[in-house]
Amino acid sequence: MLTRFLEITRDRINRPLQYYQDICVRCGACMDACHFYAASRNPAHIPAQRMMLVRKALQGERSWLNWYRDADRADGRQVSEIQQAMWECTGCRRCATFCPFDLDTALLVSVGRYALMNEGTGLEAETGHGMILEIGNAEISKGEIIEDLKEFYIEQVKLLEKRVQDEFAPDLQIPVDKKGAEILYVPLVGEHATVPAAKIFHAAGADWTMSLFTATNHSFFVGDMARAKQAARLILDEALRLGVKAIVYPECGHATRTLLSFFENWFGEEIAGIERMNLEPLVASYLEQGKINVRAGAVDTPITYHDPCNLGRNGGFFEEPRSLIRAVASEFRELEPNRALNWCCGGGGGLIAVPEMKETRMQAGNEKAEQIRRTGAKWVVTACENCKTQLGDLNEHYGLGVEIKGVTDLVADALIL
Amino acid sequence: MAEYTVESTLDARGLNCPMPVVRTSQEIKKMSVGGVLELLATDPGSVADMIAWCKSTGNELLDRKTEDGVFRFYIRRVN
Ligand code: SF4
Ligand code: SF4
Repeated sequence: MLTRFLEITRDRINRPLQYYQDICVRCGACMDACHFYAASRNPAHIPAQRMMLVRKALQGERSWLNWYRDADRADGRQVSEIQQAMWECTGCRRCATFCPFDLDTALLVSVGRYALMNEGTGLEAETGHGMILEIGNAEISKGEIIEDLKEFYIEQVKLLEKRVQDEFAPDLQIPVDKKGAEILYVPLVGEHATVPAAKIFHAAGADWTMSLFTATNHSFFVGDMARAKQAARLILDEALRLGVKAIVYPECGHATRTLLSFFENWFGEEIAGIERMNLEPLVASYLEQGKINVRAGAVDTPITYHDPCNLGRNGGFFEEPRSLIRAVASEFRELEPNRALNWCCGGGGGLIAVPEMKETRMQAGNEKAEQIRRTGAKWVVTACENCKTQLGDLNEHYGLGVEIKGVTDLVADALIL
Repeated sequence: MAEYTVESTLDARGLNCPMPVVRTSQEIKKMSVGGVLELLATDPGSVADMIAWCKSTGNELLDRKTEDGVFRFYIRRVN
């Protein structure tokens, strides 16, 4: 059992991962940091135990000293535990923040997911993670159809542009496929990821163009880095073809992580001349440099901010979204804890796309729901699409009575032209 | 409209990413093979996504049209 899983895991265990497994002293500091374990008390959710399960399975394979060591044969029970340990994780890296050695369970989870996916035991159907693969494949297929679709796509963007002109500014433009533009903005599916950005770029007088693609990269969630790179290549090729100076990613945590942490590694020299950034820090810089102006106190509803794991803990953008919120909202209340110690919403790691995971997500979001309730805020603002969907589901599930918004929604609504 | 009957309609307007694809995939799996799904969307991004999804899953995009700013897609379940 688990032959392929073990083969691939062994193959992909690099030095840091080997080091993580060897150095963990089982101190338990990571235990209560994990929102899954905090809600379930299921040992397979303890971050160190997630690593231990893989380690035991590997040892069971290769050592004749099994009877003496803590090795374990890969039996049915173990398979199901490993499956839980790998899939019921949002890759938030909160555990690593609490670990005295910074051991990064999420890195092993990424390898473990990829290995499980290749095991081909039909686990895809059980965990529903086949859906993540399906979306990842569609993202790559887009590259093959985009030329045929381009004209139709641009026509549709023009219709959207007309609507935004009517409601906001008659001279606003949503350029697509514009050669020589400074910024290539890569949106998400949904007007909410296009319209606020278009308003802000317009107000700032930015020279921008919108991508024909979207920023999400679902292959990344299953640790399939070869396919993740294939999807990212579509964006790089577009940026090179248009000759832009910068690629800007939207309010999407995992996509921003691929852009800021992986593009350089994947594309080296090819990407060297192109700046990469997330929309939040860019908009914060517009405000700081006076390129945009907003109505101070435009929002007087009590408001709180959820740090998306991939933007905050894993990206270092803590103050930029706060500076934008403070500029427009008069009553900002912090979640406790916040910034690097913020609780994950429970929807990351691709779980939002897996319908079978809904109940698990709601359970794992318990800490988040309580944090929000304690603030008494009426609006919860964040800067990641997955977080927005999960927070919306938590709102319903826990009866929080809040509204969920994006940071750029707030800014766009308060712009002074 | 061409010669097919719609078995099910899905309104993907206003959904967060990647829900238009997730819901379509779920809905199609509930339908009979050969059945036609009508999908409603308003956002250009979801148009490209849905067409790419049809291509990568082998489902057939029969028709697409725009009415009052709403896009309608007709997708036949192939497998
Ligand atoms: S990365 Fe997050 S979800 Fe995964 S084990 Fe660590 S704390 Fe838990
Ligand atoms: S905090 Fe670090 S060293 Fe301690 S048990 Fe967890 S992973 Fe191991």
